[in-house]
Amino acid sequence: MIIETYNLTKTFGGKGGFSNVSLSVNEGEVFGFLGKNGAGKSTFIRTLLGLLRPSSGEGLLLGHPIGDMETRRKIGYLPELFQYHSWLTGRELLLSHGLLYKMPKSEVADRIDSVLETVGLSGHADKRIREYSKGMKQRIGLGCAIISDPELLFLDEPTSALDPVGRKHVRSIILDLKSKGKTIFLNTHLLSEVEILSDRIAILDKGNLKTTGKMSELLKSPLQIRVQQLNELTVEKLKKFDPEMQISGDTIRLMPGSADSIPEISEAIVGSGAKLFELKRVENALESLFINTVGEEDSR
Amino acid sequence: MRTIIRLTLLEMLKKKILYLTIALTVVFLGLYGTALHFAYKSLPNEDLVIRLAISSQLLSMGIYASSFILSFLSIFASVGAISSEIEQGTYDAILSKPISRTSVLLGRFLGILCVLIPYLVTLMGGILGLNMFFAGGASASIPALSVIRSFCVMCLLPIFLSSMGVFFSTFMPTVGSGVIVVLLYFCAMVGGILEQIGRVIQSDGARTALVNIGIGTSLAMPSDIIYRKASSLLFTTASGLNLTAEGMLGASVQPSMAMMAYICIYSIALVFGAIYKFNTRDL
Repeated sequence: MIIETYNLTKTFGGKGGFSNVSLSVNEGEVFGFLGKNGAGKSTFIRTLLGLLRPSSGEGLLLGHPIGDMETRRKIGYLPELFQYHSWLTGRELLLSHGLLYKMPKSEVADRIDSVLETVGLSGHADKRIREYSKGMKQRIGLGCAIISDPELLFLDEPTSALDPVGRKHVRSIILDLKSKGKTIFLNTHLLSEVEILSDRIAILDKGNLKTTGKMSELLKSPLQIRVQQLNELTVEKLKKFDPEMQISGDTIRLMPGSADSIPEISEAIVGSGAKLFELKRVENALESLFINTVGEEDSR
Repeated sequence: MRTIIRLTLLEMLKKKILYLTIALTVVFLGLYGTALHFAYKSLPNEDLVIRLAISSQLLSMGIYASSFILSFLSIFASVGAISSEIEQGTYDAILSKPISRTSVLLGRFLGILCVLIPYLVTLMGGILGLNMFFAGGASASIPALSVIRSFCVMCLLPIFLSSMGVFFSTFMPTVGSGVIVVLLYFCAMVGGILEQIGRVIQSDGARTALVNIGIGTSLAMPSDIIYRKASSLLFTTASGLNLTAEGMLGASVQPSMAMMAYICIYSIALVFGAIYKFNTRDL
């Protein structure tokens, strides 16, 4: 396990924060951490990183207790409120953060250009951070997080300041890091991002862990099928895939056992004489799960 | 820690704090030199005793002004050392790296001193040099050892004030820390003046009260006592005569070495206190 927490709790005078969070993150996976504003997601990350003192419970990062100095060499972190010394240039900032990782100066210098290229700031290396746009600051923050090529990355709302192109770029960076075996703890409001990137997710609500599990298990989204000339044979055949399927007019909603059965479903419909007009997965399955878990109320 | 010291020095350079300080110091020394030029020019050449007395007062004034500048630089450089970074949120990215909070705090503290102490030597050296240049043969004869000892004691001023500033900075907002340290500084200054007045007052009761106020404020904030010790060391001639003993800016009784040891221990305690506070707080 790369991250393990056991009843980890951080409250501020008994209020806020999060309580009794026990979860684990496996090596090489992208772990999506979801929750409404004020649910305690950032507090959880900041506690894991030793920026906040836990009120109780235990946490291990890469097998070592949270706050362990040597472990931090292998951890990268992009804070939600990405603030950096604005009087430094992008290159100087990356150098400073590389040196804070205790990397040799020559090694940092060698990595800076490739990191700048990765985050799309090659042409802005010698500009001061104060001249950067908000999106550029978030990108250089991501650069600071990956300068040491860490094993574990905490990304707290990594695309909050980015435009759609920037978001796509950061998604591709995350996928690239995942392909290199890095473990990524992703805290974001963007459910579509989590859906695309995450292997597993956890949902935090009012400081309590509500759901955790594999995306594929949590998001069994139903199929929506629109047919005409629906007949008994079609219904009989489709019930083999989901005995509890729902029929409403010419629309059928069923939950297949696996994605592999979709071609068989289409064959069953056409073969039984019904006309198939549409067959699609119900979208926003994660959104439904999220709303069902935390509710629609907008206050803590 | 070296990276934090480097960042602290870079900050002073990049924010142009250092250049501005140097430029304003040059202006200050220029004005002081001009004043010295006209002051010495107006003094009667034949009366060496008067020239010596005035020379020591002018030098004393320069050293006092220097200590004032240095004190405020120390306070303003240190009261935001930790708190301003926390307020801005820059420490989230830094303290998640493999660097301890103790190293960050000491790096900031030493980085500030790396600027302040050379600045102190330059400023005091400038004041002393200008006096020697304009006074010519009439300047007080100050042994080199006195100068060195005085400069060494004066170094305690930025060390102490920075340690106090950094201490408050670990658990209070920047503005709050600044207000507290500046108020304490002025209390010490007034206490020091009252103590000097007390020493020449005839009434026993009033003398005891004023001297005790001076001692009390010096124990809480020894900035004034550091200046008076440094001044006293500088103006005590080889024969043991203290040329500024009777002035408001001098010291009728030279502060003891025990008091200097107390200041050193106080500074160390403040730094340890700051380390403890920073290590046990949430960011």
